[in-house]
Amino acid sequence: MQRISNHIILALILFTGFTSCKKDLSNNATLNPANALNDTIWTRTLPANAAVNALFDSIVPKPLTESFNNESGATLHFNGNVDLIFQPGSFVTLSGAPVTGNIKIELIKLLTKGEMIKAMQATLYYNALLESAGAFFVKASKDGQELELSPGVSYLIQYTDPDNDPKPYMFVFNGKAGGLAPAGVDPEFTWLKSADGSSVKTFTRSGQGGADQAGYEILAKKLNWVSAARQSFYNAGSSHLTAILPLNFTNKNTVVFAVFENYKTVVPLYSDYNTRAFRASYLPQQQKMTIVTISKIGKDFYYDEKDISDIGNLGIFKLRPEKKSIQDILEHLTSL
Amino acid sequence: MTNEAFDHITREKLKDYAAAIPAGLWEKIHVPAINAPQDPFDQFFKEKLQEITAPVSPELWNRIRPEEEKRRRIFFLPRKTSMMAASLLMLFIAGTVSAYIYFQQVRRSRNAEINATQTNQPNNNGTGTAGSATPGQNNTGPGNSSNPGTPAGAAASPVTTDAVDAGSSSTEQFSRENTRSSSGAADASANTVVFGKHRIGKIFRQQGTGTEASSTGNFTDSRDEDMFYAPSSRSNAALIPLQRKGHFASGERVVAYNNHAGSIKNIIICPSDKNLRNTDWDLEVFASPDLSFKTVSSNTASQQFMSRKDSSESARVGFTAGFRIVKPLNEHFLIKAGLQYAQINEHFTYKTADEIKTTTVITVRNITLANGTVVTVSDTSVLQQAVNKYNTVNNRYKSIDVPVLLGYQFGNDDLKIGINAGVVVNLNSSYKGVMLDSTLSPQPIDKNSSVGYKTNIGVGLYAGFNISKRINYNTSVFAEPYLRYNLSDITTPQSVYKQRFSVGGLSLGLRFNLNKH
Repeated sequence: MQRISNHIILALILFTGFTSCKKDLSNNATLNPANALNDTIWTRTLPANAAVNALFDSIVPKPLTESFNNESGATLHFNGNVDLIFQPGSFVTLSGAPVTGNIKIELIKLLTKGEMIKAMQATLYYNALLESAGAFFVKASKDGQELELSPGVSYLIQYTDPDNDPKPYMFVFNGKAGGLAPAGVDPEFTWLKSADGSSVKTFTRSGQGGADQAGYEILAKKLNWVSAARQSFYNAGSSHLTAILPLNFTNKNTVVFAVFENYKTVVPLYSDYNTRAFRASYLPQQQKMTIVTISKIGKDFYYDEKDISDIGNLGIFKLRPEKKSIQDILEHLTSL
Repeated sequence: MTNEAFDHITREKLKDYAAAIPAGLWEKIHVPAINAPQDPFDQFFKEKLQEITAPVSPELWNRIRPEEEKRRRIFFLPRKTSMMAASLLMLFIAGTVSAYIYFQQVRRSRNAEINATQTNQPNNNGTGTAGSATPGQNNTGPGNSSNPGTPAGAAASPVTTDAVDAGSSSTEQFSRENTRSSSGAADASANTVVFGKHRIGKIFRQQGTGTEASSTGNFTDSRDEDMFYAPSSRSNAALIPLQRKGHFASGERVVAYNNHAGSIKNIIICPSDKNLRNTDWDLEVFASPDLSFKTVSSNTASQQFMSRKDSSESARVGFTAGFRIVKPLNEHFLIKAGLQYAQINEHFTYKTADEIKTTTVITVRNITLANGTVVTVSDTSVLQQAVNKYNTVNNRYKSIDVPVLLGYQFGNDDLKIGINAGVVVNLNSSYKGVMLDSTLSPQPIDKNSSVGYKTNIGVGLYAGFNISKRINYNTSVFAEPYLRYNLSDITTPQSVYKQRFSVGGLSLGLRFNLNKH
């Protein structure tokens, strides 16, 4: 009987061991080449279908539109305390023919650093940093046909700065691209001081509720990109700013900006193909700034920001974008 | 211990043992008259000795059993030992056959001798005196067949010898030592039968013509009344009466003695151990690899669903394990009942597209600083990749059942073949794994699934073919290919499809005899 008991115990042990052997899951994973997440290749020339272009379309501020009769002129009021004042007969066709009837005015105002990032507009005069007091994109059209200012005619842009009181020594800058519409990060884009070197005036007026409002008044002689800015002067030295991101984030799907805390200065970090990093050259040291990265991979948006008090001599920072909704990203940008 | 050794031990231990012979024992083994030309040897065992049983003390069996067990294990002996055993077995068989042929020839020779004597001296009553006999005088047999001696000579002359067949191929010397002794009222001549140099016993002749035997008894032709007494191998005092018909007696007494002794020995040496083992209850412990066969039909499920389900699921080897109590009803029929755990395994494969796979990577970059210095920067980050994943889940359909089977088996103690059939009553069923939902998406099998599974699938039918081999005194190993057919679905009537399993397997296990000791 003892032998039988031993046999039974052995059988139970074997049975328990046999039934306890579990392997619930197994898998055979293969990369999905159609998924944008698997595209980790950098490119020297940004293709037209790059994800950053789609990203721009997703976050660029929508133009504000108003219309007026070209023959009578008008003062157009836009949200955000922006007024455009046009004289009668301000516009002609691109061929110089007079235009009658209503003119459609589209306005994109970049009064905050967040709005500038949304429009992917930097505040650079070539490699020199500009302190902006606001930038605008103004487009006039009639019946879908783009118009231009009549020769010798200018218009006024009056606006209040939501962040700061008006600063002196602001000058009028125009975008080098001229009449081109916003198209995302363009390394070729730069602000150029107006040819006559006109400065930006400030004004004070009574606002709603009787409070005085102080603002800028730009006498613009060109359409499209117009800005009030001034060159920044920093006493400290400068360093290159390098942002390193994980391999999933390439120059095809990611844009990176550096936003100064105390200045309305937004600097894009351009892609460096050799180092697979994003870089901006000669940024001033001892300046507080925030590095912002926005990515679009597939249908997903990624965002990260890093506050730095001083880029120091090294100027190398690592960012880890995380998936966020477009709404969250826009809110983050607005708060910059 | 071999049979020969056992014989030797038994003989040495019991040769001087005396015990009272139970009343009627001699009658049981009484040799009837055998009419020529019937084979007296075969007739003797066939009619009288085949059903003889002798009481044996349990202690003796206990001493024999180890030998029995050892003998059974010869199947597992090493090759060399097995060959030796086989050689010994062949020698034994050859010896037995030779002995049989030898004694057949002896019998024929004796018949011929007696016939010749009857022809020449049909009524030759011996007149020799017993006193003329010379005890101890031997006359070896070979070559004396021509002068076997008359009955008178055989009785009166001590030199008269029952010659064995001169033409026998046997090389053994066979002689008879005639002695004459008086034992009470019996006038008997004690003939010592010698095989070679071994003295193995005596034969006493008693003249039965009168109630009082005379030491000078006449050795007449008393073939109808002659009684031959062979001493029991266990008691020198006991005489076995051997009744012979006339002229057969002288020849058969030797044969009868030797074969009688041999038959008694065989009955003792080869006992059936059926009464020692508990044939009332056995215990079977078994495990079986199983293959399941599934039948699926749609209730409300779409064709696409059924097709997807069919392509997603594939049968895998399951198993059954448990135990059964076996109750033999008689020699052939038995009933079994027990408890078993069965598990049907399936692989469920499904694809998940664009599943995120993360990999930690380290990137190294050489970055030029504003002052022209190149620094190497390593970055440990996570690389995310979108992968198409083919997941395989092991679906398990578990059940605890009670098998109730009726079996029929035949064979011997060592090897039995049989069939088992009956029902398997399900106690509980449970399921684990992944299944498709109505949207063709995989979801875990649980109570909230759109497809419901029963917790009890009722009764199934069972049929199996069993072959068992005894490996030691209490244990047998068996194999039983079987088929289980469930009578009901594992799915509830509300499920979008019906599913039923049948299982085929091969049970391998051990059967333990539940001994009383």
